Amino acid sequence: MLPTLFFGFAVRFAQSLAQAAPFILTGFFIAAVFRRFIGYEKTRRLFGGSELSALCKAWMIGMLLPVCSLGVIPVIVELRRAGVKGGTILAFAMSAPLFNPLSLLYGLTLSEPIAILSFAACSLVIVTIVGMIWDRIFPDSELTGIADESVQHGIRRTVALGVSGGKAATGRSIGLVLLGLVGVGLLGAFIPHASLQHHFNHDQPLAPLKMAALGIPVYATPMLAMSQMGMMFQHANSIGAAFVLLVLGAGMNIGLIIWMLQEYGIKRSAVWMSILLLVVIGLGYAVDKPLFPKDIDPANHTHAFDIYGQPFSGTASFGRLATQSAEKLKRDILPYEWYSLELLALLIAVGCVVRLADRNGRFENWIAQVPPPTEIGRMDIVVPPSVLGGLSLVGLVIFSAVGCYAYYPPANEVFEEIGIAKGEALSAGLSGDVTHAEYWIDVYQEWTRKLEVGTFLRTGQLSDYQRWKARLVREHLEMLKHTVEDGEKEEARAWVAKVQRSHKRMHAAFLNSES
Amino acid sequence: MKLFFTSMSVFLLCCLCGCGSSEHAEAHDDDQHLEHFVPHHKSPNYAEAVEQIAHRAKHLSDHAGHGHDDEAQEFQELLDIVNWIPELAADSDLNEADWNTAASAARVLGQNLATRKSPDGTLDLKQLPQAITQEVQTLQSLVPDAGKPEPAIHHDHDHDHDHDHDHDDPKTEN
Repeated sequence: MLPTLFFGFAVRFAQSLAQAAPFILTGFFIAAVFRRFIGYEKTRRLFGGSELSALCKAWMIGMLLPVCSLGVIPVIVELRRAGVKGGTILAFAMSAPLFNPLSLLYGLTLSEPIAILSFAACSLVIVTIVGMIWDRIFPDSELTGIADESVQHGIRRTVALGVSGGKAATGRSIGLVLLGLVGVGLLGAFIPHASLQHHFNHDQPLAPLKMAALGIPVYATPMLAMSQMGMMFQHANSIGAAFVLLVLGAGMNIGLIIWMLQEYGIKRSAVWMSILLLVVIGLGYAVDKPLFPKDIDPANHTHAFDIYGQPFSGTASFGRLATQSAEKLKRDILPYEWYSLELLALLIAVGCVVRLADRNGRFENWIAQVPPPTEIGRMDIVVPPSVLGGLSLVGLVIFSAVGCYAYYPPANEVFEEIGIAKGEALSAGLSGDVTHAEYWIDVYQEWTRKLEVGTFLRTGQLSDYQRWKARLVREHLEMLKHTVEDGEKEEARAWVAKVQRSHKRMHAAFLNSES
Repeated sequence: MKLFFTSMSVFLLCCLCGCGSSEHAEAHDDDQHLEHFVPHHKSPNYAEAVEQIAHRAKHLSDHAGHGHDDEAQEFQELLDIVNWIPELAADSDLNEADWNTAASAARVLGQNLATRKSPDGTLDLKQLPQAITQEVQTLQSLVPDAGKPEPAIHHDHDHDHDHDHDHDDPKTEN
């Protein structure tokens, strides 16, 4: 029992850390830009203005920056130091992880694009209402008197960026990030394997409430939350629960709550959480029926939350579980996640070196020095740090928008990838290899979503015909998965043939329209 | 306020523990199945759905006003079948232009059927087959292009999804 708990925790912790690593790195970068380039005064101005405009700006900036609920932690630590109002910071913290360009595009291919646009609008309503009420109750929540640390031109500001990132990666922020991951690890240890499948069905009146309880400790990247919502739409589960999942699952984690408690105390945090839960759950129930997909036959389960329960279904020896865990992580962690983990480790190493080598603060003093004026030519302009900071953030947004084209390739490239997934999934389906089939069917389904987004991105439209073809492939794969899990070989063979037929039709629908 | 916060935390934790414990019980409950609900009147393929529409429309019209109890349900089932046409047509060999024709005919058919049900629930089914002849003929004309009708795959998905009690090998999930 104990080894299962231990490895359940370890696997879920490591999986989430790998998924979060690119966003955590981005968060450290953004935090360093705010601190060293933009400076606290201009940051206050960026997030300032009237109460309503400050909250809307926080929502808008949050939507554009590619961070998750863990990656946002170093950023809000800096915003707090900069003296931004509490309601605005919390609004930013809630909205930044919900959407980014990648996940928004993905979301638009779900059952009804109107659903995802409604969710985005609801998230604005939430952060505005909650932020305004909270700011009214606690008007003087901002910190004051922290000295500006923006750096002047020259090599200093480049070094400062690395130093700030390194220090944040070895300081309080990383501690909070790890605490956030502990939540999902504990769920992995204690929630029984595959036991969350029936709690979020459309006919479960308590589904949004249950999701609120699950959503706070879970960690989901914006893309993961969106794909979970996709699965919930596919199974016609509770739409209210899907909304709560998006706001709390993607937007909240234990690390954020602990940060809030540390900064604002129990009373203010309790008020924030109460208003938030009230509004989120209320909106969850409000959208449950109107956004329910009408053209889907409901299933009585969802697989969207299998990743939050125990990864192992039986008991086994410590050694066997260790091998299984290593194999699972090796299989599940994607190459770009490995690179991000390596970069994160490098940043932590830099932070350790700086902290050890610069105990006297001489390095920081050197960074803070204003370089002596030098003779410069007319075309040699000294770019103010705030301009550079602004450009860095805008560049990040542009980079993530351009990244969409790489993440969602054109149809012909997608079909090359699908070819691999299809071969693996169908041969596993025929041979009855459950683990292999489950893994590759998920990959296959994921690529059909990317196919839709990539087509929409490049042609500006996705016909109902194409939408149906991709959806049928996913549905038939889902049925194949169930039959393989059941060990029904004859039926699995029939579904394999069915998938092949629907794949052929999907191929024709997407590639014939392209040519 | 502190008390309130504590109560709220306890409530949420209880909900979560509740999830875990009840789910644990469910995991061992043989009655807990994963199902993809497929209504009994859902046709397995496009050709059969079109045939069903024509047949059911005639049946409803022939028996209109006889006061039989199942009329409302049979009407609803006809409407369901009409609404499944886009899906079943997509699950066939129809090309995009033909699919659009089928989906469009189904939409008009659905609108026609909707007008036959008054707000108080009474149905006006007289002359139904005649009123929908054109749409049904359009749908029927596409049947040859839809390819060979595929039989339904038996998918009685009444299965217990928990693997705990069957074997000792740990199985990975997702």
